[in-house]
Amino acid sequence: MSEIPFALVQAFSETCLKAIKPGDITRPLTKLLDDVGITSWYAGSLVHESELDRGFGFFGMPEGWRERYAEARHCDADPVFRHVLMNGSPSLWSECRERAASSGASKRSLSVFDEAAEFGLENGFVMQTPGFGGVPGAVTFGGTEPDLSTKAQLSLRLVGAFAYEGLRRLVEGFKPVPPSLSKRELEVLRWSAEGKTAWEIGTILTIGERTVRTYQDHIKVKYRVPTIIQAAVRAALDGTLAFAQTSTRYI
Amino acid sequence: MVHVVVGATNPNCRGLLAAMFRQRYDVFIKEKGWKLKSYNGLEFDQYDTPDTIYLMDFDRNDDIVASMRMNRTDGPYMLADIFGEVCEGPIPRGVDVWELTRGALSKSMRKSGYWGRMQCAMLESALLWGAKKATGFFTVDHIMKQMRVGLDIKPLGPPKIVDGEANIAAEFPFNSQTLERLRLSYGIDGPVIEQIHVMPQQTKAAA
Repeated sequence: MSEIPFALVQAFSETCLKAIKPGDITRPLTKLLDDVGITSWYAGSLVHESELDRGFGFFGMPEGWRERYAEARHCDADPVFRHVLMNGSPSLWSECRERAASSGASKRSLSVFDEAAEFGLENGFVMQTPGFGGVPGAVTFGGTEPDLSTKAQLSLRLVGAFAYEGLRRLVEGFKPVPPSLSKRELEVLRWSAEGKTAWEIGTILTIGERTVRTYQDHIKVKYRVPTIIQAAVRAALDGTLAFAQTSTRYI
Repeated sequence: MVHVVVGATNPNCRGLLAAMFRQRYDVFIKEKGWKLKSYNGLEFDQYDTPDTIYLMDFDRNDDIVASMRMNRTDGPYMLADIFGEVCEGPIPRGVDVWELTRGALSKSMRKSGYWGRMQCAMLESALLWGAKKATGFFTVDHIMKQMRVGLDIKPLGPPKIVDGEANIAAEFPFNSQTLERLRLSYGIDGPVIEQIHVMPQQTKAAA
């Protein structure tokens, strides 16, 4: 297998940004990937399938794998899912597996790779994308023996970037982009929104009151508002607060 | 608000230009470790010319927080001179095609919304000057974020790893639709350019 020729990537990029319905993107995407041995893809939000109403997701997975993944709640244990959620750097599935194994991941976590292999997904590639309504996004590709050379990965990154953005535009259009908050800022925002004082938040998170205030200052700067409650209201409107309240099992 | 300065040697803007060249030194040489020429803590090169258009944004204390360099592409320009081999096909050229380089945002202001103002200022300037298209060499991460806020990016060649990061040559159109998308994405209501400082001879020619 070889990587996708650039001329095809360029034509696909144009297709994605001009699409008027998802099929305009998903059909050529599947064809493009099939030609280089990639038989599975996902583009969308990093949440369990049942929570996709908070984001969006498009699937091009082998029959049965999508259902199996959702039913078993593999997103709670899958090292690929966790890597892209927490780290953000593009990675091979095999690298995620090695990292998970060397850091003592559970049998359940590692078994996701074995189950994927039963569906012909031996290895793949995952990349983070800008989020949707405060929820992080990702694109992942897999197959039996896909070309995952450095050149092929770079090609896949472009294909993934355009596919995700094209689909996101169809679902969401253009809305104010929520500021990017760190894990700690999300936690402080979540408790601030519930009316906790800086001292109380510091006690919950086992950090100092002054540190909490510093995080609150950062949040206010990012939202360009004078008070933390105004920031919380903005965060409620753009989806960031909902993500902060539900993401504790992921982060 | 954003200041637009025309000319690296604009005698009326020495203070603004020095602040920007110092910020570029801090961001690109000190922080990112790029191997660029510098002079007494200022970073500038052969693409800082009397025709170059600069965008600069300042905080409440009048400290520079963001800047960007824009050059016409009908003469020497960075993508053509240095990264030409990354394009698979014709290299963009023209009076109305601008190259974007040296986009700098002070570390403390990352993710603060200042970059959105710079981008809106970039579109406003392009529309004022009649530029039709932007080009440049960008990281793949950067173009993903740019598409998210409304730019219709067209890759011009396959990605290349430079300094450990995937980069591509790309172009995108300057038009009012893109400006509207940027304003919507960044929650910006109207024009952000506060002042345009032209080169004195241009002022004379215009008169």
